[in-house]
Amino acid sequence: MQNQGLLKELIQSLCCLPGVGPKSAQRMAFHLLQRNRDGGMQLSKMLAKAVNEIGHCRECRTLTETELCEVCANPLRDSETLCVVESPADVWVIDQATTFKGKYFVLHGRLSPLDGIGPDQLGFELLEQRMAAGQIKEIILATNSTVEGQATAHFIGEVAGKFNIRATRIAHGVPMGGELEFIDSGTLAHAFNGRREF
Amino acid sequence: MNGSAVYLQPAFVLQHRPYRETSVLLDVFTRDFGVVSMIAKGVRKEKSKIAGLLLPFSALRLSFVDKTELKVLSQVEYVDSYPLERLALYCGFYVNELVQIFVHKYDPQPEIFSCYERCLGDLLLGERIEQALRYFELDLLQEAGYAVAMDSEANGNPIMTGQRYNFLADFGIVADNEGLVGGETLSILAARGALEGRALLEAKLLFRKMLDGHLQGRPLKSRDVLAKIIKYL
Ligand SMILES: [Zn+2]
Repeated sequence: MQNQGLLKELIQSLCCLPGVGPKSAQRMAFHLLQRNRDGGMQLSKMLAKAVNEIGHCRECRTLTETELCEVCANPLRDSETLCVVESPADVWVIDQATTFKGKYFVLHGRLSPLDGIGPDQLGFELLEQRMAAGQIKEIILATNSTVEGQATAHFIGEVAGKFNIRATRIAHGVPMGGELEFIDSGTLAHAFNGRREF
Repeated sequence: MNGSAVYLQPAFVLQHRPYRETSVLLDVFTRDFGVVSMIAKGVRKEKSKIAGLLLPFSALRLSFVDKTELKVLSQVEYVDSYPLERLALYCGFYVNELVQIFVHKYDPQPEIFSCYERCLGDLLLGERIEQALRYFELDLLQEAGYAVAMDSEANGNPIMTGQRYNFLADFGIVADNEGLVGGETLSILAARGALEGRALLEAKLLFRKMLDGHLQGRPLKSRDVLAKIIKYL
């Protein structure tokens, strides 16, 4: 078995992918080199191009190769409603699953004080500028239902209040089709705390 | 606790971070074993029933077993949650970091555990948040063995109102006309009275100096983040 050389380096590089350990990285490397060199070449070109050219949208910080992403550049989207999410993947999920037609802001993380992640790391200056600009009427806080996601929502909600912007939080709790006895107590407690007029 | 299993130990999660594909690494504050690092396997899978439980600011009972260096979580029971909000929540992270730094691994600190519960209870009330933090800092410093008496000088002299005092590392409270804290504030702290105005500010400066002395240059990440958060509010 080789312990150095290009093949080994390729296998090690593939291990940077989520869910890929040494075994599957080895399988991928052999597959590309033995059976699909064209695919491998295409993949390497695409990877290099994407990593070089994809940056952050000037307004919402989502991933895009243009200065303004598709959503921000679309004049038909409602600029008065801003949905704040933790990751670009959340933008895709919400856009596919809901009828939301407003705009987004991507934090690329959440407040995590013990890891030293605060407002600066989450593009807060830009978010505050957008709030101050006066166009936004409602901010939808769609951060995760972890404690850190909650803290992030509280924080953004407080700042929004300063600018007289209405802040709403997506509901968390009992999943659709969920029967109470099968729900974990943490989720149930959370659902109880977040109960609303009915 | 080598090689043994621990059953349903009262505990709070201090910090959690993703580990590998589906697991989570936890720093947990237990009542009888101090801070314990453990792995919770498979909790990031979609159907995990305990993912919603293993979060900071929830009173839990945890069972865990030894496997090599790292403990492995084997059971979780939910006891109670402290749904902190806004400033109280941001400050809760700071309290967690203090515990993480000042309580050693596998060092039983049931007294600090009670103080921690009391502090979360105070934060939950949402009033006198700063006071809750100051008294937790004092509890922590005293219980962690950095004996700091508030009712007398290091040399045994009683604290006098109208006199200023300073804190010297490795020594304690000393009279000092340029000192950062007044005798009145020290008396309030000794009696665990209500901290307001100048007393609140002086207590903050005093404990910060004490904590920093023990941190020896190690930064408190949550304190820096908290300062930035407050600037926006
Ligand atoms: Zn955009």
